[in-house]
Order: sequence, then structure tokens, then C-alpha cells
Amino acid sequence: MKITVTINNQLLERDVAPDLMLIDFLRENGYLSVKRGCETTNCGLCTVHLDGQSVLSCSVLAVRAHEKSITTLEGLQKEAEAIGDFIAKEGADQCGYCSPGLIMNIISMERDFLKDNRNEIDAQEIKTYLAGNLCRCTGYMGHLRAIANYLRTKGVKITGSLPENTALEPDKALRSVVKSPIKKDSKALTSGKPVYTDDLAPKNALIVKLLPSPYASALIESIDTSKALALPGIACVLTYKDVPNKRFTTACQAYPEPSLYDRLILENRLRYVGDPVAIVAGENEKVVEKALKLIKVNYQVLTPVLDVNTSKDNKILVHPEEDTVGHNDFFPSDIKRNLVFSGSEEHGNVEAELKGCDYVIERTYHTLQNSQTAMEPFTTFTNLDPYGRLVITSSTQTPFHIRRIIANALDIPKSQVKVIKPRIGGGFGSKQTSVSEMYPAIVTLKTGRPAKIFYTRKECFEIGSPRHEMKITVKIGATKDGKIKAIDLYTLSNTGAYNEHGSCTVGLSGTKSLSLYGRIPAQKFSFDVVYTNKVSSGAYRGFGATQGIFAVESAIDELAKEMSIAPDVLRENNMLTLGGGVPMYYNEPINSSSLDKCLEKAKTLINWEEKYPAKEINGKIRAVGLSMAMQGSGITGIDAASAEVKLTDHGKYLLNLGAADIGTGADTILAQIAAETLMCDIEDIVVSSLSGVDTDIAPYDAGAYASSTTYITGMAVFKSCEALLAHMVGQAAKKMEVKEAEVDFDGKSFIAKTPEGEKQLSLFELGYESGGGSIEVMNASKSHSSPVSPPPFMVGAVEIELDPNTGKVEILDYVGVLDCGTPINPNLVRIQAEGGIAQGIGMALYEDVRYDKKGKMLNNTFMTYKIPTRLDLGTVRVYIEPSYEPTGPFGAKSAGEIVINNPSPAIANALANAGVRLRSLPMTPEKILAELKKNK
Amino acid sequence: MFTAKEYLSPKSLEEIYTLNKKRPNAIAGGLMWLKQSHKNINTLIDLTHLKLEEIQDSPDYIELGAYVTLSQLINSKELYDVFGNYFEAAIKPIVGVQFRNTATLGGSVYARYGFSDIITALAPLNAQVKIYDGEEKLLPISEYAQRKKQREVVLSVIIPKENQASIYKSIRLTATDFPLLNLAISKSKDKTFLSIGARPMITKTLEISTPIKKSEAEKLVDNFNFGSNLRASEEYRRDIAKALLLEALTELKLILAETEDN
Repeated sequence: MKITVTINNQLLERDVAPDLMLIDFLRENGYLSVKRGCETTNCGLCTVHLDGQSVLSCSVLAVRAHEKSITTLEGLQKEAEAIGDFIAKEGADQCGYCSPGLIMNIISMERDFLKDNRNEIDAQEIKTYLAGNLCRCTGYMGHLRAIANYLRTKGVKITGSLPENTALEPDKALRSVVKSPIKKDSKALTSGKPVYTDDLAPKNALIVKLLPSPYASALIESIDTSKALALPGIACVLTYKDVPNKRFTTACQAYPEPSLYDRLILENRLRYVGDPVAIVAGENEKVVEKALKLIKVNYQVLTPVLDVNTSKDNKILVHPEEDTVGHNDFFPSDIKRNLVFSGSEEHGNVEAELKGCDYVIERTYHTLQNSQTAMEPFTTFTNLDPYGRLVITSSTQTPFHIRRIIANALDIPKSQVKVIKPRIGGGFGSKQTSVSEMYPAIVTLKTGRPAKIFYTRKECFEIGSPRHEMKITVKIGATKDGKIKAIDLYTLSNTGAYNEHGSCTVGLSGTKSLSLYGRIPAQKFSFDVVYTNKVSSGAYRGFGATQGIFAVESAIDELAKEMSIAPDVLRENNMLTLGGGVPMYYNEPINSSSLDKCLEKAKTLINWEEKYPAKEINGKIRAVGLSMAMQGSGITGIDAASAEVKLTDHGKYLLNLGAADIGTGADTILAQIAAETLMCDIEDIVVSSLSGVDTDIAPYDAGAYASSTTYITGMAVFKSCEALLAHMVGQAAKKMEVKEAEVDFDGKSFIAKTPEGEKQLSLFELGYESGGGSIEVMNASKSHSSPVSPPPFMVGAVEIELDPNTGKVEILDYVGVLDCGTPINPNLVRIQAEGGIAQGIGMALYEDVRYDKKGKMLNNTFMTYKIPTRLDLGTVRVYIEPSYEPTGPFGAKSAGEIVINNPSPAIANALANAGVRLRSLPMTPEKILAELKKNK
Repeated sequence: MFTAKEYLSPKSLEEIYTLNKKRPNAIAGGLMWLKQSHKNINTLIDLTHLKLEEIQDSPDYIELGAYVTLSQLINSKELYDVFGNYFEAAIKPIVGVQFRNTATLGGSVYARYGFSDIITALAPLNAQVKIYDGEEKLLPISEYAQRKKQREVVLSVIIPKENQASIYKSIRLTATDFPLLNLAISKSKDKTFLSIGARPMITKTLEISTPIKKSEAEKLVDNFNFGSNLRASEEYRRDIAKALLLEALTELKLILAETEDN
């Protein structure tokens, strides 16, 4: 059908299919600011204006835009810049993937609100208007601060409850760190530039889709692809017969991977509902969808193992094959028992200590899978370069690991693969597994053509890499004087169909929870990780620590109650202190901690003394609860990163990074560290990774995981800059014909005080001289790995309101106080924390992955798996309580993961103070009411 | 996503009805739900020429065209003057403003989803649905809600201005989620209606006498059946139905003091 539309004031005439949606029409015509985040009209990412009104372009037919006017963010660049600037100042642009849709809706909100010349707007109205715009990075508080500031410039007064500005005062002694410059990619992101994987994919790329297994466990008896292949427009249909018969792992871990090599790209054994049966590639989505329906498969349906409790030593094996092997002796497995990994460690004598305790409790806690739901779905495109090498452009946290994994998967030399990481629309750990890369990669190898896969939201849920389900039993004992003597913790972890991150996450469930009380006399940690026929679990922010801390921090409150002692006092008596090796924390020392101050401050801010434990107000119960948390900063002795810094021939710097900024602002933070070291402004530094990490060019970096980028890569940057400074001073001395020791550098000029008088050489001169050949070209590259993983600490305190008639919980006030060492960029730290807390609140209250009896996932869309909207979080307040970590860049530790660990136990403890102790997540209104009824 | 071979905007109602009677064809409302289906549609039928986008005010009733959007319902001065914030309470939690700007009243009414906030809100108001199935008919929405889909064309909803007081309540996991249960009460001069929906079955409406004692109000819930699904269990739904009912009646000041000694 012919349609005539006006897009951003330009008339466009096109022939469109009657079922073409506006989002596809717009993206096909180059309006790439319009993003896709779901198929169920829930996310708001595709918001555009149709005749001036915000609409979801995913549910408007292109034909319905006939003779209408459409506006995308490309047509509102001035407004985008004005609003984007305020968002950027809060660090609230983050990954930016939801920014265009959000800004489109802010613009329409502004028009709606201001058309009647209103001069007062309530914060609640703003939240309500924008509730249909989901964001997973920021936790929404930064958006609200930014929008309020923006509207104030229009003369509008903002009333109602606004998140207070908790920003740290900048440190005057420092030039570029403990400062909050806006992210270097801010303008590109908030103006909707095409910087994400799908935006960059070649238009002629084959569309790749997967045929999912309908069964949790089955064997393919026969598969007939002939009808699908015969469809015009289908380039290839691949089955297990077409893939290398060599097992590998998709866990993005340093080699030798802790994970077993237990999977093939496709296999005739299917291990969970969704496990890919076939790969189809064709010219467009429609024909590929059609082809999927034409593949005939005969399945031999097998009985699955679905229950984490009965997997170990079950006679049914998830991996009966003989060729699954491990490469890392530290992670022994026994797959003939469905056991991926098991072990135990004890420090002190737990049994003896418990015998001497006046109080001993034992409780079991249960956490479910959770989905990270990065707003950008898993996306990859691949092509062969003119020299026959495979180029993978992908939304990944770990470009260097992807190179190895895909080479393994395809059984080709690693030198034949290069990986490009563009801007990423959020990860939260999900993209630390190579979820989507292998499928287009093998299509490109087979067909020689570019190929692209873009996961549906349903696929992100069903075949992604969610958090591990864990059942954790805590036995804990204390004496009358309030001293905890021993904790015994056992974790049963469900890794799902493949090993992946199962062997690693389980460790953190013990080490990062028990070490919060790391100086008590005795601790024991034992664990089993089992296979089941469910989607394989991966890495999700917190990485096992989240689950362990939910258990231990709940148990501490339960013990306190048993002892009739206040839970804050019990923590104060027993918390981890500064000092030498902590046995359960790999015997590492604690050189920096303000945990005690964090607790004190959180109590003050939530008004603990007055509010603890609970009060009844108008038939509702208001209660407070708190929890402590820790994490690590990189993996001790394993995480490695390098950086390269060059003096350019115009006297500025180029910082070449392999670190993966996935929306956190890492590129900017690392530039700040470089600027501080080089005594320049961050504007003087071009960061190569801003326009993408290319594994051919970038220095090696393990990637964005284990809370390592600021701490590990940051030190690599610092060391590289120091080395460059030395090189520059040497060359400056040579040029000025003075001794090196006589040269001083102030960031702009080299000054030599010689017996003959003062000589000077500007940085600019040094730069162009290096380009002219009279001195050396100056650059430096250093790597870093740390013998310790200093823990950041955090305390969360929450006030909830419980409706005892419905079980519904409202978050009234949430306070997070964080010790991340030195906050390099306080605004970005704060936004990480606010975002992590929001995810934690979702996990605590409603993020609920459920399966039917046959192992089919039931919560597999944004309609059924609910993540917090901006109306669900009350007020979240984050404060930084710095310490100084001597092994980190300018005293920094990590911040990215720890921030998700507090909400679940803090809310559980608040609920207990309101009368309901729940030990399984999520704590839905239904579970709460059932418990209240039991107690009656 | 569905597929469609053709998109037509017929001029006459008769044409639309005849076209829509053929199974592989479908009427396009706001498409919010249709787009999530995997139907192979032959002709998508647009109702633009029927001019159903308007809210018409009359002395005794308000008529809402089938193509009126959910946003129009929230922003309608006509509805606000009679019902206050009632429609806002029912409709504002539905996804987001972008969604409500294209989702249509007619789409919600015809689909008769169990979770429908729209039908639960309309049912106790004594509203009627105007449909066309060869001839124009007016059906009480509470009756229409229970009727099977018969490929009729929904033209409008007519709400009498009888309301004296009304209230809408729901419980949701997150602010913009589907309701785990919804409940509406409307009192006119001589009648009070109670509707409970998302049980998870479609709204059922009951005439109740008010004011009412708390103990008797609680028993009203026994007139409704409840079921379990992914979102909530039968037992929980019954519990919150009671809680919301008492809350609603209390807010409407329709609870009588218990006179018996207990």
C-alpha cells in the first residue's frame, strides 16, 4: 500500500505491507533512535510522536500513519540536547538505550503540562506520566532529579517528594577524580545516535532465528528441514548435523575456564525448553518465521530433572555424554551425579563453637532465578572481512572472551576471529555469557554472508542467562553477651542445563556473606551445584553474593530476635573490621572499610531509633529493616587488564582501552583516572573505546565483570600514564638537552631548572616534535592484576508500609550508604547504586521466574515478569561514605555489583519487624498475606 | 506478530460487518493485543469511516465511540463532571501514556479480557454497549461481558448519568501491571452495583443494598467465584476481594455500624 507520511517535517512516500509496524518502517528508513525492547507494548523504548502525541511505534501500523505527521528524536535534536544535558549531569543517561523513548515522552509531557500555562507540577505527576518508560540502569531517581531541574528552567515549580541531592562535595585537592563530569558518550546517547549493535548491522545481513525445543528433555529422532530450505529467501537451515562436534562453554571466564566444556552449538540432545533445535537464516524476518514452522522434528521426549532438590544423584542424568570435559582442576565435577561442582571449607571448629553457644538457629532460604532484563536484548551481527576473517559485532561485556569462545565453538583458529563491542544497552552480567554470538557466526561461516540475530524479549527470558536459583541453609550461634561464635552455611545451587557460571557464583554465596562476619571464631561453607533441565544460569550483578547475603543477613535478624537483642547492635558487635587476613575471604587483609560508619549513617538517615521495629498507622504497619553487604573488586590474581596511552602529535592524549563500558560510564571514569595522572582535563583525552572496542586493536581486558573495571583497569590506566609521563620527561630532557632529573612537568609544560637557567618546552611542542622525528613517539602500555580483591561495603535501610488486609508492601524510603573507597565519579557511583537498589527491590518483591510442571517458563515477557517502574520505588537515597583503598587507583574500590545485595534482606527484615518472616523470594503480597493468616 | 494481506477502511457499517464475518479477517482497534497474536489475517478492517472517535454528551447519558482511546477517557471533561476521578483510577495504571494514547475502548470491550479494567469500571454504571450484528442492538455491558464473541462490531458504550458515588479499586504487583483483582462500586439514586473482575474471570456484577453492615458486606464476596492463574491464587483473590470491598464501602461511607452485641 502506498502511504505518504511526514517524518520530522519531511514528506516521505513509500509502499508498505499492510502488516508493517511503524517501528519497523521507521528503522528501515533510517530513524534508528527508535528502539525495540519488548514485543508486548510494555517498555516504552519505541515511543515516537504521531500527530504530536506519544505512541508506541511497535503497535501502530505504518498504514495508519498515512497523511499523518511522525516525529522521532532525530527531528527534536534541540530539545534532546536540552533535556539530555540535565539527564547527563545526573549520570542518569547510563546505557542510553531507553533514552530516546524517554526523552520523546518527556517532550510530550512538557507540552501536555505546560499547555495550560501551569506553573506548578507535582513530582508524582511526572512519575505517572513517564511510568510507561522502563529503565533498568538508573533506578529512576536521577531521571526525576534531571526532569525537575529541566522543568525549573521553564519557570515551573516542582512540588511533592523529590529525591534529595546526595552528591558528594568535590575534593579540591584533586583535579579530575572525585568529580562528576558528564559521560563522554552522553550527547551521542541522549540524542539517539545509532551506536548500538542493531543500529550498525549491514542492511543486507541475513536474519537469523532459532527453533526452540518444546521439551525440557528430549532427543531429536529425526529432523527434516527440506521444506524450510525450499522456501525462496532462506539461505540456510542448520541442525546438529551441521555444527562442529567439539564441546565448549559459553561462560565468559579467563582460560582455563572453571566451566566444563559441556555444550555444542546444536545437539541432538535438548536440555531445556528453548534449547535451540535448529538455526534458520533468511533474507527477512517474515520468511525466517515461516521457515521455522516448516521444520519437521520427531522428538523422543525424556523425563526431565526439574527440581534442584532431587537432581544430585538422580538416576536421570542431564549430561550423560562422555565427551564433556573440564579444563580447570580447581573446579572438579562429577556429572554422572548431576553434580557440576561441590566442596567445603572450614575455618576454626564450627561444631565445637556451636556447642558453646547460648543461642543457635538454623534456617533455610530460597532465591529464584532472576532475569537481568538489560533494555537492549542480546544482539549480534557477523561478517567475513575481505581477508576471510570472521568479524563479530556484539552486545557483549567481554569482547576478548567472546573471541576465544566463538573460535572454540566453530573450531577455527582464534586468530581468525575479531570482536567489536559497540555501545551496549545494559548488561548486568547477562552479557558475560556468550548467549547470541555463535548463531550468526556459524551462519556467516556457512554462507559467507553477513548475518544478524536480535533476540525477542521472550528469548531473552527463555534462553538468556538468569541468576542462579539457590537454597541456602544457615546455622548460626551466639553467646549471651552478643558475640556470634560460628556460622555454618550450605548452598545448593541450580546451574540449569549447562555449567557456565555455576561453579563460580556458588563460591560468592559463602565467601561474600560469611566474611561480613569474617572475624568470628569459626565458619564453614559447603556447597553443591547441580544440573537441571532449565535454562542455564549465568552472571547477574552480585553473582551469588546476592543470594548468600539474603540468607545470612536474614538469619542475623532471626538470631537477634531469638536473643532479644537489636539487630543493629548484633551487627555492630560482630561485623568485619580492618586488619589482617580474613580466613573466609581467601585470607586477604581488609585495608579499607567504613562499614561501621555506613551502618551508623544508614540508621541515622532512616531514623532507626524512632522507627524500629514497627508502628501501626491508619490500619497499616510501618516497619524498618536493615542489612549489610559486601562484594569484591575484581577476581584475585585472575582478572587482568591493560591500557595504552599515547601522546598525540598535537600534544593531547589518546587512551586506548579494551575495557567494556556497558553503560556504566567506565570509559569516562577511566579517562578521569588518566586525566588525574597526566594532570590534564578529560577533554584532552580521546578514549578509543568510546567508538568501540576492537580486539585487534585494543589492549587486552578481561571485560566488564566481577566489579573489576574501575579497580583493575583503572590501575592499568594509572600505571600506563605514569609510564608515559616518564617517557615524556625523558624525551623532553633530550629535546631541551638537559638531564632528566632536572625536568619538571606540570601537565602543560616541561620546565628544566639547570645551572644555566630555566628551560621550557610545552606539551604541544613535545607532541609535534615526536611527529617530526627529532624525538621518539611516546606511548606506554601497562597491565594490571591484583593479588587482593578489596571488598566494597554497603548498608541498606528501608522503611516499608504493609497493608495487613492485602499483603501489599510499599517502599516508603530506602537509604543506601556505600563504601566504594574513593568514588572516582560520585554521580556515576550514585546512579549505579540507585539502579542496583531498584533491581534489588524488584528481586525482593515481585521478580518471579516460574515454570510449569513440564519445565516451561511461565514468566517470559514484561507482561508477566514485572520489573519496577518509576512508581514502585518510593524514594531511594544513596550516600557515599568513602574509605581509601591503598591498592586501588586513587583509593578506589568497586561499586557496580554490591548495590543489588541489600534490598532483599533489608526488606525481609522490615517485613519481619512488621510481623511476617519470609524466607523465599520474591515476597509477593500473596505470600505475605498467607503468612499473616497463619500467624493469626 | 500477526500477518495481514490487506488493510481496508470500508465506508459502510454493513460492509464492515460482512467483511468481518469471514474468519481470517479482523477489526483493527488499537492493536495493542492483536499485534501480540500470531494470527494469519486476511483483511484488517479499519473503522475510521464510522467516526467512532468521539465522546458525545447528552443530558441523560454520555456516549463513547468504540475508537475513543483510553487517554480520552481519562481526559474527558464530560466523564469527569459525572464520575470525578473514577475513570482515572481505573485506567491510569494501564501500562503508560503511550499505550493509552492508541488503545481503544472498543478493543477492550469487544475482547472481554478477564483482567479488563475497562469492563469492571463500566459494569456497575449501568452502561450499555451498542453493537451491530446485522442490526444495531443495545446490551447492558454486564450482560455483554458474559456473552461469547460473535464477530459483532462494537460501535459505542453508553453510560447513563445516574451515578451519585462510585469508586474503583485494584491490586497490582507493580504500578502499571495487570490487576490481580479489580473491584468497582457505583451507587445511583436507588441502586448500588458491585462489580468484581480479574478473578481472573471477566467482571461479574451484582446489585447490592447499601448501606450495609460489615459482616454482611463480607458475605457478598461469596456471590463471586474466583480462580487461580499465574498472577494469584483463588484463595488470595477471595481474600483481597473482601479487603477491597470493605475499603471501598468504607470510603463511600456505605458501612453501617453493627448493632448487635458481639
